[in-house]
Amino acid sequence: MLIDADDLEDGRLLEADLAIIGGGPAGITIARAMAGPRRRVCLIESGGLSPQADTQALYQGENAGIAYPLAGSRLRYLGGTSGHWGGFCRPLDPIDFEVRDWVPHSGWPFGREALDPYYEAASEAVQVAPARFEDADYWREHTGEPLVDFPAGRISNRFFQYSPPTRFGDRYREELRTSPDLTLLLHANVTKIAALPSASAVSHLEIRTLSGRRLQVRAPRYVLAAGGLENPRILLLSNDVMPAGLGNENDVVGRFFMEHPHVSNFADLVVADLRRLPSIYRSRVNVEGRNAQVAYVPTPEVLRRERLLNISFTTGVAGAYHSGDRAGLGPDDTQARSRLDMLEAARRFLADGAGPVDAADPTYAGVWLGIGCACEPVPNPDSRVTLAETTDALGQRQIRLDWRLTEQDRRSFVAHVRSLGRELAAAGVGRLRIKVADDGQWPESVIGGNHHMGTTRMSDDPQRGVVDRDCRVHGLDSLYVAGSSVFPTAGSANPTLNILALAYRLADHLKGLPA
Amino acid sequence: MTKGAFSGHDSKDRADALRLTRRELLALTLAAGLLRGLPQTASAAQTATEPLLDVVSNRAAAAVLGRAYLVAHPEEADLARLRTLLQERLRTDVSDEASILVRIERQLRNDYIRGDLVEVDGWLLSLTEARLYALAALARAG
Ligand SMILES: Cc1cc2nc3c(=O)[nH]c(=O)nc-3n(C[C@H](O)[C@H](O)[C@H](O)COP(=O)(O)OP(=O)(O)OC[C@H]3O[C@@H](n4cnc5c(N)ncnc54)[C@H](O)[C@@H]3O)c2cc1C
Repeated sequence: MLIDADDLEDGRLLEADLAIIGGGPAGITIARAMAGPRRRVCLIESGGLSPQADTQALYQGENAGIAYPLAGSRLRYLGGTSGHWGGFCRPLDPIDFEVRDWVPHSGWPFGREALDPYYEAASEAVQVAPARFEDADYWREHTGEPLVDFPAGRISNRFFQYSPPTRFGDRYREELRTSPDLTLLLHANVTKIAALPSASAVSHLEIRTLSGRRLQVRAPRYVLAAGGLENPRILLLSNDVMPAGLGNENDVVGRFFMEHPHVSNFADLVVADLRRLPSIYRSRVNVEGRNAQVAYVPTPEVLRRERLLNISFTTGVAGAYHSGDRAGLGPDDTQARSRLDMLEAARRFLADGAGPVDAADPTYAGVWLGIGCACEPVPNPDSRVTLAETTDALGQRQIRLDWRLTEQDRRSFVAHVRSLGRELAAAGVGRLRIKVADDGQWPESVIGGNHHMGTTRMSDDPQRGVVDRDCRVHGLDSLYVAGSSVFPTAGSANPTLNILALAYRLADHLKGLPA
Repeated sequence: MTKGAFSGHDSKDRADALRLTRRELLALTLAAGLLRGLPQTASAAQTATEPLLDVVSNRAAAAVLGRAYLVAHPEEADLARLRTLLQERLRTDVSDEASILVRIERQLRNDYIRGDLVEVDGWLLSLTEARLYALAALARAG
């Protein structure tokens, strides 16, 4: 059933067996997994079925650290930010879950094996199943091309699978609307999670609409799934009983905000013979109706030995060169000239035989490729979300984000760029040119990937985390958190597939609890 | 003379320092492209390096990279010295045309695997490869 909160009378109390705050990928997935006989689910969504400027404006806030698009990196209507996500899917790597003595605050309470059973369902939800993210044989066989064998043992082949991308609001709206055990409440902003005076459990949710209606939702259990920036905000705003905010006795809520630093134009790769870099390394290839591309990921051995953070790279062809191009280059075309010089100097090492690489195109010299990256950041307590003094249209304090990166993050990035260059050259694929100075400064092009992680991190120790291994807020019996805010470390994989795997795991846990 | 770079008491120090300066000069001249286009002379050293340079498909392009390498490593701006350095790295007779490509390819791969690298104008190159290009630069300079 679909209800517009503005159609309900003011002061109405709704009851359910489970109340979920937020109708994005996390909330919708838990709702779909949970709704059923004897489990009435109420899914509470701030927006409607399509974007609206006044609702979207509730996401505005202020920046105190690296500039960040607080409203632009999220969408506030049914389906949440999946309304404009890119569809990159990949599981976190097993090492991302480990306690690594060179990564402060690292370690999940469980290993990747705890999520492995859920990646298939997660893949189905985003229309990429079956999950073949680490199955090199599958992609080798199905593309009919060999994979690059990286001889230095520094890089391994992993695979992005691309969601169409699934717009959760569009894809699951009808299912949500027709489910007899589910109430989808639209235009309903949760403004407070009200706790019992003992602060041991949640009493109800307070809801307001932009037109001024006030409602309440009561359930024995609640899941907060409002996204990685809004989850801490709602906890911090819920400060009636606990002045520092719900779940915040130990001042962890909002801390450890992590993003995957993305840097552009940091290196070029030149390749003379594209047969040495099969198509799945350069572009998305379609296999059995699904798109995939290689993610170059460092081996765990290298990460351990050299005490580095994780990273993933992708490459894509940016342009081709012919020997005759040189004549047309102006004095400012230094990059093109340098790439052409490299291709022609190393020609014998980068292609077989002494003849032209392409017999049909004898002056063809090769291509250059741009490189993309997503870096793992160190969990940093000083990188954080707090409440600003400014308020939104509902009178709620906005967020203040202080996103910070560390020198350890930067050094790791630089080391991995060199590592990639070594491997591609050792494999005879190409040569890499580094274009960023190793001068202690992040390149100005550094941005985030619209991935909001870590702000309600998971730990078995309440001093170090907001939620426990079951995603339950420490000290509160009935409140759970879903989404990437629970990630204690970020790895280098895009979050959404992992959010969904965790959501299915949380649903399994909730189903196992007494009614 | 005050105590400084040339304050050493034996004349060998001074000669080394001067030789370095000459190499530096040569490297800088190469970098500036001043010697480019000079007719190549068939010196004994150069003839001996021919098989090595046969693996370099485009010597002019290689020379550009080689000049950049020599600017950072002026002490290697000497044909005979470079040839020796390469011979040592390749552990082979560099005038044996038949095996040279295989040998060089193997050495480059080893350099990349072991991390025996230099950055030349941003390019991450195996040390052997960079010296090969330097050889091309010197050979072109005649
Ligand atoms: C441009 C862009 C590209 C991206 N590309 C990728 C990609 O390729 N791969 C990938 O893995 N990830 C990608 N992401 C990130 C991805 O979109 C998020 O990881 C994902 O949407 C998170 O899901 P979520 O349900 O936790 O949060 P959200 O999608 O943010 O959903 C939160 C929901 O909660 C609702 N809500 C918020 N506050 C309240 C409140 N107070 N009361 C009620 N409801 C509330 C919102 O309206 C929204 O519907 C991208 C993001 C952006 C912006």
